[in-house]
Amino acid sequence: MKRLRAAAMILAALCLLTLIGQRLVSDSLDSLDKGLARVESLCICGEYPQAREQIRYMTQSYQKQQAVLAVFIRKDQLHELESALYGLNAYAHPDYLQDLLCETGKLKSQLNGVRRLFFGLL
Amino acid sequence: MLILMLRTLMVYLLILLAMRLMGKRQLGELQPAELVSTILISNLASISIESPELPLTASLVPVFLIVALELFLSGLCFCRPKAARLLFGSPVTVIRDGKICRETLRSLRFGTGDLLEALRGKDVFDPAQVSWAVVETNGSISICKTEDGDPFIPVIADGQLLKGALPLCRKDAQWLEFLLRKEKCTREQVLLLLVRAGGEYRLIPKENSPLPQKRIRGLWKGQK
Repeated sequence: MKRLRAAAMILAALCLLTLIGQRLVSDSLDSLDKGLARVESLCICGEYPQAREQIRYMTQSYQKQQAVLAVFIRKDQLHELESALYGLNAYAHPDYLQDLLCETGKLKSQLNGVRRLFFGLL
Repeated sequence: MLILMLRTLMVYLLILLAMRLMGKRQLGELQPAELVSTILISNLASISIESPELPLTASLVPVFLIVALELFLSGLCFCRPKAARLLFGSPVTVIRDGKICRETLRSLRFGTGDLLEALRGKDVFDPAQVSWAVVETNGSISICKTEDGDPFIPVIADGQLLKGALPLCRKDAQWLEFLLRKEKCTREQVLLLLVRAGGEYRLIPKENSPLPQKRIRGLWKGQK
């Protein structure tokens, strides 16, 4: 019966890990989504210095979260997201608005891919 | 490379812990559910060793979920013998008094050749030498030779009357009732009742079973 107790504890630990994972991944992806939307709106309004600051803030906070996200998500996908975020700063300029919107669109689709990978059942 | 070695070490130790948790049953001959979990665990364990880009949780979470389910299943089978019968089946008699039960063999999809091969594995070359042969739930065959005398057949185990056991030892429910009355106990109070066709029996009541054993310096010693 000790083993049954151990099984119950394992199951509880797995449930807890799953819930924590869901929450962490969902929050991180949501904050990236919101950040990208803010960068787009700032650039459209012509506030490029604020947009660059927003991108820098997003990159830093993503780097902090990356170690925890690596427990739940494939490392190659996390690395792709990081690279794309780094590259975004170069497009925060009046001459490259269309390119920036294209890059943010790509990033959003990458985020959706990660979301589908993590939360998709089939 | 160092990371790969560390990951392998971690997976190895955790799988070792998982197998230890599942107990000694897993290390002997496997039941169907145990075989499934062992195959799945070995495949899942290799995933995170082969693919360093995958998080360790990708294989460890499913492995420990399978371990937990396996433990719950074995607990369920222990408490509910019907569930055990449903999951693992029951042992089936294939030879009685030297006669091969052809119907049973057919239902097991066991050819005469397979049976003879299994008997040869037990150093028996003539089915007439066998007084009782049983195909166990894990697919192995257990035999009692005629020269060893009439075998004891389990009729009651853990207070449960085993299906088909009474006709096998040529007894009926009335005989069992009479025996239990004589021994002044109910069926539920019986831990094990072994009966020979000749009428000889061995009854072990539940209260006579020894107390849980304690491991002392690697040896198992019963405590009073």
